[in-house]
Amino acid sequence: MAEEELLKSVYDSLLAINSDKTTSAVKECLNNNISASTVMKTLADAMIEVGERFNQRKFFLPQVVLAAGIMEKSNKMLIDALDVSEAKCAGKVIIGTIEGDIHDLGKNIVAVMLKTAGMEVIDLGKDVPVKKYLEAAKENKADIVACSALMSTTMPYLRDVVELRNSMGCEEQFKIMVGGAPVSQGYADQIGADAYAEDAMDAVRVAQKLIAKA
Amino acid sequence: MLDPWDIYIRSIEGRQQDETEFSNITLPTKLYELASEYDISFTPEEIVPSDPSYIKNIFNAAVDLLVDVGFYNESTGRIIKFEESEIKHHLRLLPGEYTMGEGNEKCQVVKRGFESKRLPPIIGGPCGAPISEEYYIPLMQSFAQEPCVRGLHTATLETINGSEIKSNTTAEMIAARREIEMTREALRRAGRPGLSITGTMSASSSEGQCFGHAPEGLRSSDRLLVSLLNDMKVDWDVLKKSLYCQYNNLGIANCMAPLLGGYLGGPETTAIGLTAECIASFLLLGGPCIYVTPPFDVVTGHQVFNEGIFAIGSMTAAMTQNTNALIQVYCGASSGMCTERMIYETFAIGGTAVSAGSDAIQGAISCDAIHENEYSGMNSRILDGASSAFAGMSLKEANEFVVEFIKMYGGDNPSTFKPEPGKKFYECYDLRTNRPSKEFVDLWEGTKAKISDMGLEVKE
Ligand code: B12
Repeated sequence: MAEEELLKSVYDSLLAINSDKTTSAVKECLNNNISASTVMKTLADAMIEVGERFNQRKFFLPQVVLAAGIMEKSNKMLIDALDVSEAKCAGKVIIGTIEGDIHDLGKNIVAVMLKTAGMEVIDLGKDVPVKKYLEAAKENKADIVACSALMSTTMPYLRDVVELRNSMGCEEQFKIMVGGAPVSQGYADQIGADAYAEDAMDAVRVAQKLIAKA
Repeated sequence: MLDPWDIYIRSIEGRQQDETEFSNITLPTKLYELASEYDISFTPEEIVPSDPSYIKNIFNAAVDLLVDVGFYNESTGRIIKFEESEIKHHLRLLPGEYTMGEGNEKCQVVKRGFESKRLPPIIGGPCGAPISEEYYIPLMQSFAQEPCVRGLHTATLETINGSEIKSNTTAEMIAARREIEMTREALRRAGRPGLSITGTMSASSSEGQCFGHAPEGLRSSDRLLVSLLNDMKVDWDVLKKSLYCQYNNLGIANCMAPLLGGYLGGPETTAIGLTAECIASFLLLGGPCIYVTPPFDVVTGHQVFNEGIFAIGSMTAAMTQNTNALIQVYCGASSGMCTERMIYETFAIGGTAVSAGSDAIQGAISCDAIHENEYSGMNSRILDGASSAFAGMSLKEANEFVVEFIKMYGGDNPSTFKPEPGKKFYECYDLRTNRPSKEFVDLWEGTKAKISDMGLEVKE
């Protein structure tokens, strides 16, 4: 099979959310000496299309989560085959829904869209204590700490994350990005967060900018 | 309801399953199978269902879903299983009526049925949205003084003693108590101390919320909100709240806040999943009535799109046709208060709820219940207008109007829809008299006239 056809099979299998088919298509590419970075690029293109279909309501959250999982699994296979010079990660993000808050759907969508954009995402889940974000950021040498809050009663903890980070003297190390329906750019500025994004797509753009600046 | 001890045993002894697998594979896979097996499909021209066999199919698919996938207890990672016979048995036991409130304000919620002329009682209030301390009492009073309002749903206090309220602290417990006390004061000022209250919203933990239960707080004729988790899930926190109410004789408002495009998928599968969640709430939570919000779209966060209204219409119709369960539809608009668009959005969702048999209706809510101080008693007056216009109408005719309203505000096109920005309470109410501004009253009168030109009579 020609390179183009093999790559198309990777693309189509991921869009069909078929884990087994994607894995064998990726293997087939490697067997045919297609470079790992080219296959990764194809997977990333397919994930962009997955995100697009989610926005058009043709795909729903489970499909996006499963597709991101398949991409992650495939990328793990590919990383081993990658030249060290080629290996570059688009950034590392610690994400979680803030202490006291169990509204995690928006956070889940943001997490999966960041993965789609090739970032490594460590999801701490919901009701995440302030300290835990920064411990995880330190341990994993993250670029960004992303916090979601959906209630006026949990938004104050966003400020605590910023203050704790600052008291640790890590302002340059970890950038803090905040979001959630009641959060706004004004609020983010007020508490000293580095960035705010309105929705998941915006979160990807903003995270990319933060990482580029660093 | 199932015996709480039995729920406990099922929660600790049920089959273990990974949560990601449950939400992303088991649940959606079964939902798609059922939508295809029962031939459930969405068309933008059919929002309020009228075909009895379609409605029956939604119900049957929901029961199959419950029996097949069960409910997930997040705290134990185990499945709470249900038998079809016990689901049907427990639904049969539901009384089909419920009394809330005290004294002159006792209000009976009864099963209405399809196309009923009987107006469902309106539960007014900002339904959890944040309200600042200084406007809390007058804003709640503005709802309580509307004669159509038969119960109040509280708001989240934004601050307490001028300080922000932090969840998981004693501040949220004090706030939960204060929220009900201030609501009681609003009821007194409106001369309706016996109106039933549903809360509490200012605390996020279950102990904080239960702290609202006190002689000056929530009483047995009131209701504590107990919500299922998304989707097809509970945890100890939810079950503890329900148990607290049952053992302390405090009313329970079963609740579900579904999403469109999330784990339940698109409109057809959301209709089935939502119906299954409503049924399960009567087995697991113990309240006589479930209050359900129209699904929030996960891409935009808005709740007025035709697909979501279809899902809540289907659920309401399925529960009306097949059970004695009481349904209270939360009538939420995405546009802001004091806008023409908010009125049309209220008519679309309110009209769907009332004709599909909703036994009580809640709201109306503006701006997706997110902005602060953007709600008032006029919202309930508008919902009452919608209710009076649709009560007694045939399902087919109701559908035609609902589809027309949705087109008028652009709810048939989520990618271009933008909510109309609204006004705050203090911008469209006279704070001295607690009466709506001339601008707000004129907007309502003018829009009513336009609606009547469409051939719909608002009797409010
Ligand atoms: C679904 C829901 C629930 C579900 C949550 C299920 C779950 N697993 O998430 C349940 C039923 C459990 C629930 C419970 C409660 N809820 Co609730 N809930 C909602 C609802 C209806 C929708 C939220 C949602 O999922 N939206 C869809 C997602 C996709 O949107 P989103 O979260 O905003 O995310 C998008 C953006 O904001 C952004 N984003 C999100 N996070 C992040 C993070 C970063 C870093 C970035 C950059 C961007 C970003 O991107 C996302 C995708 O585009 C909202 C109402 C609303 N209009 O928002 C109320 C709401 C948030 N809840 C509210 C309340 C009060 C409660 C309860 C206290 C009720 C009660 N008395 O029990 C409890 C609290 C539980 C707790 N401890 O957290 C209030 C909050 C008011 C306030 N204080 O400010 C709201 C506003 C509704 C209301 N008016 O009552 N709720």
